[in-house]
Order: sequence, then structure tokens, then C-alpha cells
Amino acid sequence: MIDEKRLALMNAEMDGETSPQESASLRTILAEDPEARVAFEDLSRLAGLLDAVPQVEPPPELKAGILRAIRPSAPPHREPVPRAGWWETLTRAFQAHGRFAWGYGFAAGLVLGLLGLALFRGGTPGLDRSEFVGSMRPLTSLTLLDAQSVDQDGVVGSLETRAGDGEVILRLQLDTAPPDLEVAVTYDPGSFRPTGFRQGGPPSHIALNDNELRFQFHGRQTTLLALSRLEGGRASEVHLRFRTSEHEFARTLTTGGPGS
Amino acid sequence: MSEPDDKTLIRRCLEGDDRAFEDLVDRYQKVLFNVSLRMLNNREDAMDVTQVAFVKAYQKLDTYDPRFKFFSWIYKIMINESLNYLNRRKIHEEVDERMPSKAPTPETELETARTAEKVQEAVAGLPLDYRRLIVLRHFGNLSYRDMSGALDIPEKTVKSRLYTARQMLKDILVRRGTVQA
Repeated sequence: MIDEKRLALMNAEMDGETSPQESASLRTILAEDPEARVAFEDLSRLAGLLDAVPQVEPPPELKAGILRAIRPSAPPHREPVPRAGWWETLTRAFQAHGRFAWGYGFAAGLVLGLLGLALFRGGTPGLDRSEFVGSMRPLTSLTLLDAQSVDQDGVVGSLETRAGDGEVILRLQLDTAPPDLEVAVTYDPGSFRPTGFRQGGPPSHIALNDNELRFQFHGRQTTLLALSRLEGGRASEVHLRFRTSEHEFARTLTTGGPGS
Repeated sequence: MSEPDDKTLIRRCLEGDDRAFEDLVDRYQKVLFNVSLRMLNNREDAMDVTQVAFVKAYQKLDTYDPRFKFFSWIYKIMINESLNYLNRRKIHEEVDERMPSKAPTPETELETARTAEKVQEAVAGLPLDYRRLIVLRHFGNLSYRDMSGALDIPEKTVKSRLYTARQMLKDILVRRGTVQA
């Protein structure tokens, strides 16, 4: 049985982390102790196996995606795709991961939660609601900007922001939520204007202010919010507050480049 | 002409030269993608995580402390993002089941490819705290010091965990018959 000190020395030697004196000491040990020699050979073999795992070339679209995300104003490099409605485009983009199949979230029929009726209770005078409801442009390319998980105070799910064509899409997918959960999304009104909102599941009360959109969650639901980036806006984050009668916590998601 | 070092590229980037950041992407996308791939064992996730790490690095570039190496700093961002992914998708429990099947390989390369696949499977089967050390050391080529910085753990812990990780990895490979005891 080889003592721990010698094993540590062998590991350090293999990692190139030994001093010349330590290397010399190890050489002596290996010359004198056959058991140590076998252990060192084993270790070297293991390192050889790890080093033999081939390096994989990153997909070409990785770099393009990064550059697109940090330069929201730059023209996106993309393949021509058939023109689709914005909803189909969003759905496709978020379904890129098979196990993220979240169609179930919408299976009950998507509530076009928009902002007519119950929305905008207490809305802001001067806000052009017609634009909010109907003018969202088709998106053909959505780049992932941020992805976070939530598991706090009974709220479990995931949050993502994606960008494309001057818009940022915020997606909240909650697997569980307390019955009285309200979510407030706060953004810089000089940088973003909300242009679309969809929520699967039961309808929600939604309220819009100058810089905030609030809505409710009813258990397992998915919500999409589209924010159009305004010219000259410099904000690079949106802030979310999750509120129930007993708890409140916050999250911040990035929204692409520094707004330049 | 020699290539500008990372710190020069960062300075140029902070002065508004986005092309400089593109050079950083060129320099590190492959190694970051590979580290992420070995951590997450899924190509799509690795791509997402690598992308998010670069975007966050770009956005936080003014907080970068030039006393440290850029790649240690971006590794740290990427490791955190990988952990977010793992937490979010809870794949560490099902990772073995999700190993993609390999495309047919020419016979001469088959054995090597199979072994590499088995090693990758074994790495994916390590507990997260140990997996990330193996990945950073063997796929990211980070020194103990850089790993310590990237993972926010003392160098001594890096050493001891890395040794344990190797032992665990060997045990898995022996159990699966990839190497002999």
C-alpha cells in the first residue's frame, strides 16, 4: 500500500506541479519501490486515456451567436428561413432542446394573455397599447443570452432571455408556484418597450406601468414576454421580483450587449 | 507580428473595439466549449453555456481584474453557468442514460473512439465536485492555482480532490472493464 504522500507527489508530478527537488525525489522513489512504480504507471495510463479523448470543434454558429448577442444592433448573420409568425418562431427557438419540450405548457390552449381586458388595469396614460398588442415583428433568430434556474420559496422553474432582431424575449417556465405568486418584470423604459406577452394555462391578471409588467402564475405555467430594444437604450438587464403573501425574492437576467 | 495578449485585447475592447473581443472568442471558444461539453455531456447545452459565458464576460469586462488571467476569470463564469444548467436540468442524475450513440466509425479508429467514449462516460459519472476538477485539469489544462481561482477553493483542496477524483475515475473504469485493476 502506497502512502498518501507519495501518491500526492505522483499526482503533482503528472500535473507538472512539482519542483525540481520533488521530481528528483520521486525518481528515487520510483527507482527503489516497484509498488510505487506500478502505481505511477497506472496514474500515467489514466492520464493518457483522458488525454486521448478528442477535442471537439465548436459548432460554427457558436461564434456568430456570441457576436450577435453582444452586438444587438449589428445585422444578424443567419440562413434564410421561411417566414413564420412570431409565435411559431418563438416556439421553435425555445424548443431547440428536446427535453425542453414545453408544448405541454401550452397544450391547454394558449391564452393570448394580452393586454386588452384585464390588462393594463391602472396602466400608464400615454402608452400606446395598440402597439403592445399587435405589432410584434416576426423573429427569425433568437440567441440565448442568459439562463437561470429558480428553486426558492416554493417557486421552481427556469428563466431565460433570448435576443433577435432588436428584441429580447424573456421566458419564464415554472414547474411549481405558490397559488398567490405574482411576478413583476422591471426594465429600463428608455431601453425597452414591451411588445408582446403570452402565457399558457389559466388567464392571468396583468398590469403594466412605465417600467414594469406584473402578472400572476398559477402553478405550472410558461410565460413569454417580448421587449423591443429602443434606440440609444443602454440597459443590459431586466429584473424580476417573485412575490407571494409570505415571501419575496429577486432575479436579474441579462438582455444582451451593453445597449450600444 | 506577434498576437496581442489577452490584457491588450481586453483594454482595446473596453475602449470600444469589438473586434478585440472577437479575437478573444477565437482564442478561447474551442477550449471553453470542450470543457463545457465534458461537464454537461451534451453538445447543445455546451454551446448554450459557452455562449452565455462569453456574453456575460463581455458585459462584465469592466469588472475584470487584470491581476488574474483572463481565461481563469472566464472559466469561472462558465463553470457557474454549467452548474446553473446542471441544477436546472438535473442532468447529473440521468447523464449516463443520455450519452449519445456514436456515428459509425472506421474500423481502425473504432477501438480508440470506444475507449474515449467510455472515458467520457466515466467522467460524466463522477460527482460534480470531482468531475469539474478532472475536466478543468485534463480538458482545460488549468494549473492548480488557476483551478483554485476558477472554483473558489483553496489550492490544497484542488490537489486533494483531484487525486480523489482520479482514484474514483479509475475505480469506475475498472468496474466497467475499460482498464484493469
